[in-house]
Amino acid sequence: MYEAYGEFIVDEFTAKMRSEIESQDFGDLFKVEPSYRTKEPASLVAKALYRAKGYENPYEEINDKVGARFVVLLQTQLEKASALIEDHDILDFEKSRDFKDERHENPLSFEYQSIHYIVRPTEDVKVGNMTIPTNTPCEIQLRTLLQHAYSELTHDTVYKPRLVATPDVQRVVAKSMALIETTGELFSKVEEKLRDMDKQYQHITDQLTQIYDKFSDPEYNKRLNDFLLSEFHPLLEKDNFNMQEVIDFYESSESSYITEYINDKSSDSLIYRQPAILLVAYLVKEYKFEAWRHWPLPQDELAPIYSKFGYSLSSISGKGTY
Amino acid sequence: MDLSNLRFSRIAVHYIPNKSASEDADPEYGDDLIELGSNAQDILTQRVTEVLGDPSFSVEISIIEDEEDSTFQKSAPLIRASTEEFLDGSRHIADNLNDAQQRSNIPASVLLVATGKSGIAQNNIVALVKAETQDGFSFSTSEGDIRVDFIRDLFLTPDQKLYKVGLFAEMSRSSDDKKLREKEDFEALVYDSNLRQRSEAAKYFYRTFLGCDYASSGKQMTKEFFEAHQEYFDSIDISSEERKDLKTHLYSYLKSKQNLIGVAGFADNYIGDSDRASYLQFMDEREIADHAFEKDISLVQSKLKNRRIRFTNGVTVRAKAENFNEKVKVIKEETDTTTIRVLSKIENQT
Repeated sequence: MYEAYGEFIVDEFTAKMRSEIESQDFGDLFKVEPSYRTKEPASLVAKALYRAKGYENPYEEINDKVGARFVVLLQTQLEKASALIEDHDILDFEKSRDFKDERHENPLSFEYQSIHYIVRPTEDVKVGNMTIPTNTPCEIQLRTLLQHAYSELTHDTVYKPRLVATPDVQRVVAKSMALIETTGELFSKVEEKLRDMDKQYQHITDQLTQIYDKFSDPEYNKRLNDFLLSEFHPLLEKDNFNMQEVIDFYESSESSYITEYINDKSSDSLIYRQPAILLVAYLVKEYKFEAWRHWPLPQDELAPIYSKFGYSLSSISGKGTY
Repeated sequence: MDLSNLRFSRIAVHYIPNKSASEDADPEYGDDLIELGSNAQDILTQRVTEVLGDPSFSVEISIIEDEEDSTFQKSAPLIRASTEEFLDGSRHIADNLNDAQQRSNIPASVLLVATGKSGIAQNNIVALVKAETQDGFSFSTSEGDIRVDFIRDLFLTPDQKLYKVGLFAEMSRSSDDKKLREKEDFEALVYDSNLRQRSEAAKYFYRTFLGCDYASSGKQMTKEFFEAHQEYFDSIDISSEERKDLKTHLYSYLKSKQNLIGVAGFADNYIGDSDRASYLQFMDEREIADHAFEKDISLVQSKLKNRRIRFTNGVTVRAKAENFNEKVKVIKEETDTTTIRVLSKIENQT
């Protein structure tokens, strides 16, 4: 029964979290495949009898006869995952550990960190031909990848066994936890910066899309479009770059042969259906000596744009054939 | 010349045979206009802008021959000709090329005669492209099968050694009713890879066939070229020894036998990949010609004679420019001292 229950919890939340929590900049949401385990009877006995936790009624109190674990990359994803567990329709939750509370209570200590829930169904749940009775507990652990790494390192040596690790081992472990916490914060900053950049790209793309809409329908592919924008990012940072001038250029009649050309090419090239191609063409015009260096695809796909402006790409890049 | 938005509207193609078998072999003429799809149009446009564009080692030329049978007078009317007249005129141009390439070591080639428009102003242009042919293979896959076909007489591949382009652009129209056009109404450009080194070998194309010669503004342009380079070398962040090397390159470039110079050529020979963009940008801002031009060092002669390294305390090391780099080396530079090595004995002191 516990097997089926564990599988149910993993399937239920894996699907929910994947669909609700954004992770596209960082690959798959889960950095370790979500999994469950059931406690072997021997391990249960050991836990009940030998560990210094002091259970009064061991079998009743051990809530992790079945446990599931979800490992994500970032703190913000962890928070969203928490919310999904707490909001579940038919599962009641109880937080058995929350590292945030623990940090608050023990600000000077750096120890095992993750969020543990005990969830219990509020009604009988049918899984295949099994029924999970109301109130059956399951432990869910939520961790960031860094917390997971720490836990993998220490779980069987420091936290679990009855033997107390020596002070210098504990000291080193505490140091690594402190570092992990710091790293976690830096990761969040990275995410924040990426999000800012994403906003900036979105804004630029919106403006370019408006231009593109005037002559044709773009086929926006965020990945490809943002790839072009990010490759050309150094030119956007230039003091004399101004998005308004891009708009002005495309509003002037001077640019009509460029948009005509992009329109022509768009029928057989996905790149030319990206709003970002308008920016690329403008950058070629303004920064012809540098722009080609930022083009991430084979040079012969950029050469026609140079040619349209009457520039010799082979002379500019020095990679001509003569 | 503004080559933006370059497009061709009419193209005729003729075949000029090699002269080794018979000196008076005639061209084979194309009977009809060539229709190109948009991809092929793009490639043809690119081939032209790559060699004539901005910047490039193409050369602005002045039209010299303007009598009735000249290539210029045969080209200019094509702009407004009927299809029949266009085909007929282009055959005369093929004859001119056939006559110009009398040497038997000139390979057989294809001549494209095209009219079109270019630039923001959409000036009328006539382009004459002479392309040598190559053999090669084509490759295709279908349903997992790979197919390789031998192809004969491929032309206008990106290899810029294998084609030459002459271009006449109509900038004004002063003599509407006269039969012959004024050469002053046109600007002309030529590209031939031989111009880079062996301009004698290029002569039959730009001089005999196109009837043009280098535009004669070299004196002032050479001076500006020299000064802009000096300034550029002084402005970039490099060691004195590297600066001395670059300046030596400039001296040898200007003193070499090569009679055409230009930023594209200098960059190819002496500027590293990482500095190329800033070099071209600098020259562009200083309005140094985008094209190559005929060198005339008369205004910089005296500056090319001697080279000097001047120190802040008044000491100057001075020598004849020839082999300056081998005579003097900057070994080490510190805040207040410089170690230079003079590869010679002291002759006397005053």
